[in-house]
Amino acid sequence: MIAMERTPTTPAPLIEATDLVKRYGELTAVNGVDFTVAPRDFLGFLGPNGAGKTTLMKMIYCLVEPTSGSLRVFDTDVRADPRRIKARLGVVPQENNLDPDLTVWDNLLIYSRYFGLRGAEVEGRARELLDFMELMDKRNTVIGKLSGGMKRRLVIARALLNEPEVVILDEPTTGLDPQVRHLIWDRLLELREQGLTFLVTTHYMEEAENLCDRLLIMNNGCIIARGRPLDLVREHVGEFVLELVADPRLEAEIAQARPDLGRQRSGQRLYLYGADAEQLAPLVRRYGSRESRLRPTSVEDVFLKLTGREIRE
Amino acid sequence: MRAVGPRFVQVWYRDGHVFAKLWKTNLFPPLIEPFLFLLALGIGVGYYITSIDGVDYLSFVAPGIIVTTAILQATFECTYSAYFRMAFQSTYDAIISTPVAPEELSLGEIGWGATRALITAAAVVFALTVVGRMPPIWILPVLALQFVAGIHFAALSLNITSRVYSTEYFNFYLSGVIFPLQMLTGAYFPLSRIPEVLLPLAWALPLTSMIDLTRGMMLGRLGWYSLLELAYIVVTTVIFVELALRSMRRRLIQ
Repeated sequence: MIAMERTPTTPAPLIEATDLVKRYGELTAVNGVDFTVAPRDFLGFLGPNGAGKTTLMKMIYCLVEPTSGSLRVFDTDVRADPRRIKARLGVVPQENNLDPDLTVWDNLLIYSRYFGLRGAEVEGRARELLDFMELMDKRNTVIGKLSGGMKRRLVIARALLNEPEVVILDEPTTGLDPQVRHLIWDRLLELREQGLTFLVTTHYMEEAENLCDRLLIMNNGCIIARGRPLDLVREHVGEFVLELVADPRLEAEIAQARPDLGRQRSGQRLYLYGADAEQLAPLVRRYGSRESRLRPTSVEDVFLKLTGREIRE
Repeated sequence: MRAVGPRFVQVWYRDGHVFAKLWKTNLFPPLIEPFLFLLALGIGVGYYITSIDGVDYLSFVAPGIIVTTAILQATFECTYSAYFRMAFQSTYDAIISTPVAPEELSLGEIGWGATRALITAAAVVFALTVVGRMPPIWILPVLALQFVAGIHFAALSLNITSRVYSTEYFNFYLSGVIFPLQMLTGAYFPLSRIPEVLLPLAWALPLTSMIDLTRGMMLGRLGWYSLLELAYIVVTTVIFVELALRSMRRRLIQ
């Protein structure tokens, strides 16, 4: 559990969860989660579908009520004053819930009204955001005619209308092609430079590693590991991994020869972890084939090591 | 109702804005249909009926037509349309991730359902004015009453919408509840034709009071009991609105 000591000089965390639980009848979606978010954090929640990431995000933006435990956003209990919390949040949900009958521009303007924003100031802001997300030339296009990437960019622009302090993005680039992904990542990092705080959920390790300075790895409603991507990798799996196609007999042989190496099996593949490439090089010479790979480790390997399964199903 | 503030107006505005965008398909049918319907009844059926309850047939059914088309419009808007917004477009989820409370969302939707009822009622009233069956002095009060009736049925419908997970249930609600109501409420024929044992049930239905009060205004047949009818309509409407707000909140915030 990460506890923040509050002294007069330490600012209160923006978000603070303590032993947070969400149960739907028999199903426990979030099972005792603790974390804090400080200003300017870029925090990633990494895990497979069903890990509880979306439920956790929904509790933060007050769409779902916690079953037990404590969740404070902007030093306010989520059960006590959701309205005040929502006014300072930007939400990019998993699905693009735009108004399909309206244009890009109308979608922004109508959404801003829900925050009580009207008039020339918010119109100026809408224009700025459309520019920022490269949607200006589409402002009079009806949503139904936009591509998936454009819709996603619009949802992100929409989430920024109320000048939020914390932006929550639930699987922001799932299903998008690489150019749009990189555009979105660049924009988010730019916003981070301007002082915004981000919470992102993802099951793409590339996204987790490129964007986030801290990760919380989730599985079955629990946080199973946390820290900076490089620290996680060094702590759990070393910096290099050798993937081999190996049957159990070969695995036993390697296990006997090299007990110093971390080992994980997933289906037909055997993963051997080492602190550096030199440690693994002899094995490449001995067992390497076209199907083997010697590569740097990633957070996905951490997940595999800790749970015995892949993040992507 | 505590959570309700002026924000519900923004939800109402959104619905109106979308409607206005599609005005070509949305506005014309409601304007033309009443004319045709009234023509059919007045010239067609009315030919065979000398008088009902002291007046000609068209004058008798006109109030029934105003009310039933109005409340049907509110019902459709807060069943199929609302469900579409909630479950397919996820519009409701988008709205309540802003400072708009679920109760305000519901009130905005109910207000919009009632507005559509009002628009439809106005079209029928206009048609009736043209054929001389609408005393001008009662136009505004009649329309005001249809707005309240619209709120009533919008609230009832939104309550149902908040509980279903497929549009199939609306078929049951419409054909099993709403349509039969028209038989028991004096819309097309006097209540005196209903078996006596069903009369208490008929009068328990707020729709009966809505139709009777509308008819009372249009045929100049009001009395002290009309105030009771109005009170009954208002009280049941307020109750159903409260129930709808609570039920929709439970649906939206898990």
